[in-house]
Order: sequence, then structure tokens, then C-alpha cells
Amino acid sequence: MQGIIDIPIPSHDLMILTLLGLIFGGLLVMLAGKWSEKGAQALASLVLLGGLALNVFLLLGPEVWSGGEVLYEVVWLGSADSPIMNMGFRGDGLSTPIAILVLGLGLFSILFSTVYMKNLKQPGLYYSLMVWFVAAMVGVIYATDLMQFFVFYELMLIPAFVLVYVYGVSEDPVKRSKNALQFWIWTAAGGIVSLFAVFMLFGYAGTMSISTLTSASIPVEIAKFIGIIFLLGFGMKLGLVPLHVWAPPVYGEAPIPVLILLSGAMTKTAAYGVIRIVIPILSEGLRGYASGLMVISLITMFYGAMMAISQKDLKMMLAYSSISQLGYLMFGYSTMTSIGVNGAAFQLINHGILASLTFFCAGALKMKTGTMKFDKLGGLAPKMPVLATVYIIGALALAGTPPMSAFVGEWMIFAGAAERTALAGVGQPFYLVMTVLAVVATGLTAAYYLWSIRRIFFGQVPEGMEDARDSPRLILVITGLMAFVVVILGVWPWMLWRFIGPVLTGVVGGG
Amino acid sequence: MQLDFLFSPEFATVMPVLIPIVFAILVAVLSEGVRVAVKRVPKGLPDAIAVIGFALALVYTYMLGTEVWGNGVHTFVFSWSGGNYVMAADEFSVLMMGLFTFMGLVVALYSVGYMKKDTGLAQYYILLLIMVGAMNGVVISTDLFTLYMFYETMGVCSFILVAFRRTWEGIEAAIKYLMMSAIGSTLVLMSASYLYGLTGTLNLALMSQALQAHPENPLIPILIALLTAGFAVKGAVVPFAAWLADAHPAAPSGISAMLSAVVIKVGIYGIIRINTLLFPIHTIYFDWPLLISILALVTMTAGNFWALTQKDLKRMLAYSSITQIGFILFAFGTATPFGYQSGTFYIVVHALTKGLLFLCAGAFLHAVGSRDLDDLKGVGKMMPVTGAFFAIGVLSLMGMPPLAGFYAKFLILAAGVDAGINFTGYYLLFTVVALFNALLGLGYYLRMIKTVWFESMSENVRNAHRASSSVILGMGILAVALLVIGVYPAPIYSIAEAAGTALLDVGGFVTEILSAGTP
Repeated sequence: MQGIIDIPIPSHDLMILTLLGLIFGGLLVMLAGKWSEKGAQALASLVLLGGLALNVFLLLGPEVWSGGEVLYEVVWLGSADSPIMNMGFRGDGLSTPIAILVLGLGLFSILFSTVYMKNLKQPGLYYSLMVWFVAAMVGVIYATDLMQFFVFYELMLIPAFVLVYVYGVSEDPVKRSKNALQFWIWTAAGGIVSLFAVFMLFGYAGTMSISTLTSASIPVEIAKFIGIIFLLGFGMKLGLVPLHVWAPPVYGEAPIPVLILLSGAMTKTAAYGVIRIVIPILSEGLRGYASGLMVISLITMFYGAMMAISQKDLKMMLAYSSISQLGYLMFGYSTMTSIGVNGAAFQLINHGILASLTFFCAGALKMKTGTMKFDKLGGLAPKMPVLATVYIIGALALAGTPPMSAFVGEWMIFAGAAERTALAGVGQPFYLVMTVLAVVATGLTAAYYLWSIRRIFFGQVPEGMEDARDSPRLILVITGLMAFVVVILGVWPWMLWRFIGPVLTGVVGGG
Repeated sequence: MQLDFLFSPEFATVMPVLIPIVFAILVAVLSEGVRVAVKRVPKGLPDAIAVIGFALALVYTYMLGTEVWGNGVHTFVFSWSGGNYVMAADEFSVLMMGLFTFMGLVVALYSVGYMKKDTGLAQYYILLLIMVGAMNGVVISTDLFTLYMFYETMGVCSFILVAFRRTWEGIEAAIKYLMMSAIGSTLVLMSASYLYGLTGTLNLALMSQALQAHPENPLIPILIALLTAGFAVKGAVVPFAAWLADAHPAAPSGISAMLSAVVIKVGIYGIIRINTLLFPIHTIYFDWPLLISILALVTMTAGNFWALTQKDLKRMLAYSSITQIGFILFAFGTATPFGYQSGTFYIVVHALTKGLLFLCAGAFLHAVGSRDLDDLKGVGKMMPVTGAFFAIGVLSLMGMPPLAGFYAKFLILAAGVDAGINFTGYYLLFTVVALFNALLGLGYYLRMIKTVWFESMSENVRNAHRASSSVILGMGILAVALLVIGVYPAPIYSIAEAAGTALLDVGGFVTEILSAGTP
């Protein structure tokens, strides 16, 4: 096997090191924060940079580069011959890019926090929670075992909750606590619901190892039942309509860097769960639900888009857009075709980058102008040329314009839907209608993004903003880098496809 | 370390019972002797003896454990007026003994600082030591008479300890506790006399053989009902748990921790061990695991709803104990090996968790002078260490990783679904109820955390002082244990697994007892 680079240590150690580094690094950040805010910032960035570098090595190392996987498991609970739980690390073409996404977003939002979060109370706590939040997500992504998956999945909640609760933007502590608690209860409920499905799988197959379960034969009727419970649980975390109730308040509450981790990264772990657990194990049973799932995805897309259009505030518009985009993801899954699922995985990473990119721009605007309200903004393009360019690239990409990355993802998703239509035969117009409606939703997305560009960057400059200038260089570098990745992936999608494609081949069971 | 010279295999089984009782006598004699000699009891004397006593008992339990894990059931026979009486320890007994003694040690350490200002400390430690000794006795008794005797000894000690501070609240609670326990004990006694009439023996092994051979006996349902109801009073199973919510808050916090962490587990031990040992899992007339699982559901739901409306921290914790007892019984109600193993694990985890929480509540009460949640707002900011321990306890109770409670809850629910799919279909439905309860608990658990950490400080809290070092030590041991089990549960789980397996292995246990009785 040939990789771009050779690493002198076993590949699985890279993953173990990442996780341990994040966990203990968080502890160090907490300690450093007692003495110096700068120290905590530097340490947190270094910890995440280290994790990022290790995962890039993993990606370019011989196994992952050549389409294989790195697998390392230790028995964590139960006897060695029939373990109840394994602690495992799986690095392959799907998990490594997503881990890189999560770590990268973590690094960027910490860097962003250094200029954005002024007057932090207890900086050590803030930065260590950010690091631990990322650590838990990375743990989810590496998981090889359902129990391990859920250990980290639930673990995410604690830092997320405290971050929203303590550092939320509302002045009123009662409102802050209400939003944070609502978030906790909904996502915890989502976790518990998914757990029930895990228990059912355990009851039938007697194991929780994901790879063993993939080859286990579960009766189709049961698989249908388990699948629907799983989707319900993951749907709560993803924020699919009508399970999205928690999402808008908490998105509004969270400060921008936390919001980026919530929307850009945390929801992606649920999407990853669907693609890693639900689809491979239960694809037989789920195929019957394709049409129902499509309807739900469409409702989510349209609901998110409509709500986004009606928002008066950039942050909330982006939040609803995020909900709408997750509808595309589910739409890709629900086609149950190889290309559709591939497109969804592609879109998972794209949306992670793009949502964060636009949120960063919103944060930068807020820093310079003090507001995110549309009617107080306008004509800023000449004043902030770089930020305007970056935001426009992000917005166009989200609207599905070539040559940006999301175009490729959406194209694959729609191709999957078209394939499903073709498979269903001539007499079945249902899938055709669905596909057409999904494409229409893209038009709505374009509408609100273009409108937001118009309202923020063009037109009259409102009073008091004559001397607005471009953001601090750090933010420009971050957002510029992300925009660069977006364009590169759009021009040359093979870069990502070469990793994801082989993993997902046959994941839908030859559909 | 070579401790063999201290260890005599012959007495190994009863050492964990004898040592606390010997040390209780030692506390009494020494402190009285010193009082006569120098007119006052020196500070720290009873405390120190008690701590040493518990530590020594723990060492002996450990040695017994190595013996049992190596060679199977360990027995001790004493002959008296022509009869042979057997004490037998299997893995489950050892686990329970270890838990009781460990909690005794932690509470004794905690009480050094916590009870500093109280008088009559000699009596306090004497009662604590005897209580632990008696609990250890309960779990190794193999005839109903001995078991009942130790059970009552434990009960009497706990009644007095609840009323130890002689406040009106404490005395009232203790009387209520005494009355209800007396009724429970009467039921146990009634069942025991029936059993004696039926089988002609009090020895559990002989009784088990006689009853297992005749599952068609029409008396069996009545016996099960009497036994279960009797033990359920001490075990805090709804509808027999009315005493608990008064007794736990009223007792000194160390004792609340003991009551909630281990004393109610003795009731559970009675229900599970005796039912499993004596009655076939599915008799013709009566399916006792079903009875237990229904009781479990009622218990957890009722406990949750009561807890939701409380304003008193210790009362809330007491009701949460009732809920947790429901979860434990739920695991045993599956009547599968996995259920028994995970239930045993849950017993351990809940003992540590609830012990920690009551100790923390005690530290708050000591510092703030109130256990009302409104008065405790923001106390975590004044007492960060205790507050952090409290958060660890609550998160563990809630079932959040990386704390022990996550694995405990995960495993029993998995056991529930497993039983539902592979053995008894209705258990799936029961597991849904249990899941619902797990979620319902969030309501008050989050409120506790919120009160302690996220509210602005109330007036009372501003004067709070930090907890003394022995109090911190006691809580710290438990908090670290929860974290360690939460990160790497395998060692404790493998012990619990062996214990749960041993509990279900009725035949082996009976043979061992019988072979010990006839030399």
C-alpha cells in the first residue's frame, strides 16, 4: 500500500493520540486559563492543531489513501470472547475527512473566539469546554461500537450545554437557562430514543460491534422497526422538522463560535451516525421508508427555507438555512441509492464548511457593525471587500452554484433521486414529483441567500456605518481558507470522492 | 503483600461480620475506660477506632473475595445444641459485604469532620459498626433464623441512628421507620414460619430443595407475596416506602448516605436472594419475576413524580433513591443472567452515587444551614470542590458519560430489551416505561445542578465556609470511584458479572451449603 507520506508509528496510534491529546489537552487548557487567557487560547489552538495534523497524516498515510481502513479495538467491557463493548478506533475514507472537518472547525472557532469573545468570564473553562466538545465529537466519529458511539454522543451534551448556558448571548439568565435546558432535554431524548434501537440490535444480534452488525441478518420487519426508532433519535439531533423545536432557540442563544460547533459539527455527528450505523445495518428494512423519508426531508427543506426568508436577522436566517440544508442530507439518504448516499456524505462535509463559513462572516459583521439585523445593514461591499467576497462565495455555494463544492453534492443527491425515479418505473410519478420539488427548494435557497447579499452588501449605507472596515486579519484568513477549500472541492470533487466513494460502495446493499 | 499470617481460612467467612462488632465493643470499652481515667473522651478516639475497624474489615473482605473467586463458595459451620449452622459466602455475598464495608469506611471518614460538634460520638460509631457488621451478617446467613436476627440488628441500629441528633424531626421519622419496618419484619417472620411448617427446616438450602421439587404447591404465591412485601419495606419499594422520605432527610447526612446507599440494598438482597434461592423462576401459579418487575415500574415512576415536586434537597435525593431502587428491581425482574449481572452492577454504582450525593448534601447543609433548594442557590460558587463532587454525582445518576451511571443504566436497559426480545415479550414495553423514567429524572436532576451551579448566590450561601478535609476526603473517594468506573468499567463489571452469575446459580450454592453442613 502506498500513501503520500509514510508515518513511522502504527496508524491507529494517530487516532488514539488525537483523542487522548484532546482530553488531556482540555485539562491543561483549564489549568492554563486560571493564570492567563492568552495561554489558554494558545494551548487550545495548539491542541486542536496537533489533532488536525495527526488526522491529516492519517488521511495521507498508506491505509486510508489507498482506500483501506485502520481498525484498532480493545475489549472495554465484558469477557474477551464475547465482549459487551469494545473501545475502538476506525479510520477510513469516511471517518477521517469528517474528523478533519470537526477538528478544523474546532480550531477555527477557537481562533475566531480569540478575537470575537471579549470579556470572557473564566476563559479557561470556555476554551477547555470547546476542546472537550471537539474531543467528544471526534470520539463519536472514530467509534467502532454502538456503545462507544453513544458514550461519546451523550458526552457531547455536557460541554455543549454549559457553553450555551454560561456563554449564551441573552442577558436574561432565565431565558438563557430555558433555551439551554430545552436543548439538553431534546437532544438527550434523542439519544435515549436511539439507545432503545441500540438495545434492540443488541438483543437480536448479541453484539454492539458495528462491523459485526453489518453482516448480521436481522428480519426485515424488525429492521424496519429498529430503523424508524433510530431515525427518530437521530432526527431529533439533526433537527428534522417536526423534531427541530430545540434548534432555533439554541442557535439564537449560542455565541457564534459555539454555534459553529453546534450547527457545523454536532449535527453532523448524527448525520454520520445515520450513514455509519443505520444505512449499512438496516438498509434492507429502510428501503420501504424511502418515500416517507423523502417527504420529511422535503418538508424540512421547505420549512427551513421559508423560515429563512422571513428572518430579519442574519444569524437566524443562517440558522434556519442550516435546518433546511440538513433536509438535503436526509433527502440524499432517503434515495437509498449509492450515488444519493455518496452525495449526502459529500454534502455533510460541504455543509459543515459552508455553514461555518457563513456564520463566521455573520460574526465578523457583528464585530464591525454591532448588529446582524438586515434593516440596519447595507452597502458594505465597498467597505469590506474581502469579507464581502468570501460571504458571496459561501452564499453562492450554498445556493448550489457551480463551480462551488455544494453544487457537486446536490447534483449527486438529485442524481440519486433521479435514479430512484428510474428504478421505480414509468408508472410511479411520486419520486419524480419529489425530485422536482427538491430542485425547486434549491431555488428558494438561492433566493434568500441572494437577497441577504443584496441587503447586506449593496444599497444604501445606513448612518453610523460610514467608517466600517474589513474585519481583523485573522478572521479574513480563516474565512478565506475555507472559501478556498470550497472552490477547490467544487472544481475538483475527486479530491474528496476518492476517499468517500470506496467506503460507501455497496453501502445500500446494491440498490 | 503477604497477609497470610493474619488470615485463617476457617474463619474467613465470618471475619467481615466479627471485626466490626469487635471494634464496636472496642470503641465502647476504650472510650468508657478513658472517660473513667481522665474524665473525658479524647477527641478523635472513637473515630479513629471506627476507621481502623472498617479498614480492617475491608481487608478481610478482600481476602475472602480472593478465596471465593479462587475456590468457589466459602463456608463456616458452627454447631450448637446438636444442630449445624452454616454461614456461606458466594461471589454475590462478597460483593455486597465489600460494598457495605467500603461505604462504612467512607462514612466513618466523612463523619470525623462532619460530626465534630456532636456529642455521644462513641455511641454513633458503635451503632455504625454494629450496623455494618449486621449487614455483612445478613448476606452470609443461610438459614432464616440467623438472617432474621442480623436483619433486625441492622434495623434497630438504623432506627437509633436516624434519631441520633434527638431533634423532633428525627425522632418522628425514626418512629415512623420503626413502625413500618416492624410490620415488614412481621410479614417476613410469618412467611418464615409458614416455610418452616411446610418444609420442617429453617435452612435455606434444604428449604430450596424441598420447594424447587414441588413447584405446584399452592402456598407458594402467598409465601412469595409475604416475603417480598416484608423485605420491600426496608428495600424502599413502593407502596411500602412511605418511611423513607422522612427518615433519609432527618438522619445525619452520613447516616442518610448509609441508609440510601446500602441499608435499602439489604432489603433488595432479601427480595432477590431469597426468592431466587427458594422459588423456581416460573412456578405454575405465580411468576415472581413479573411481580418484581411490576413493582419496579411502579416504584420508579412514583419515585420520579414525588421527586419532581420537592423543594428539599435531601428529600429529593431520597425520592430519587426510590426511583433507583425501581431500576435495580427492573434489572432483576428480567430473570436472565444478563439482567442479574447488570442489576448487580447497578447496585454498586447506585451505592457509590447516592452515597456521594447525600454526603455532598450534608456538606452543604453543614455549611449553609439549610437543605432547602432556594437557600442553596449558587452554593457551588462558594464551595467549588463540594459542588464539583455534587455535579459528578448528579450527572452519574442521570446516566451521563463518562461517569459510572451511564454504563449502569445502559446495561440494565439493554438487559431489559434483551429479555424482551429473547425471553418475555412484555419486557420490551417495560423497558419503554423505564426509558421514559430515565428521561423524566432529568427534570429534577437538572434542577439540582442548576440550583447549585448556575443560580446567583442566595443570602445564606454567602456565609458558607468550605468543607473540612475529612469531609472532602470522604466525598472525594466516591467521586473518583465514579469517574474511574465511568471511564473504564471493566474491572468492577467483571466482579458484578461473577456475582450476578453466582446469584442465579442456585443449585451450586445449595450443594455447597449442604456439603458444609454434613462433614
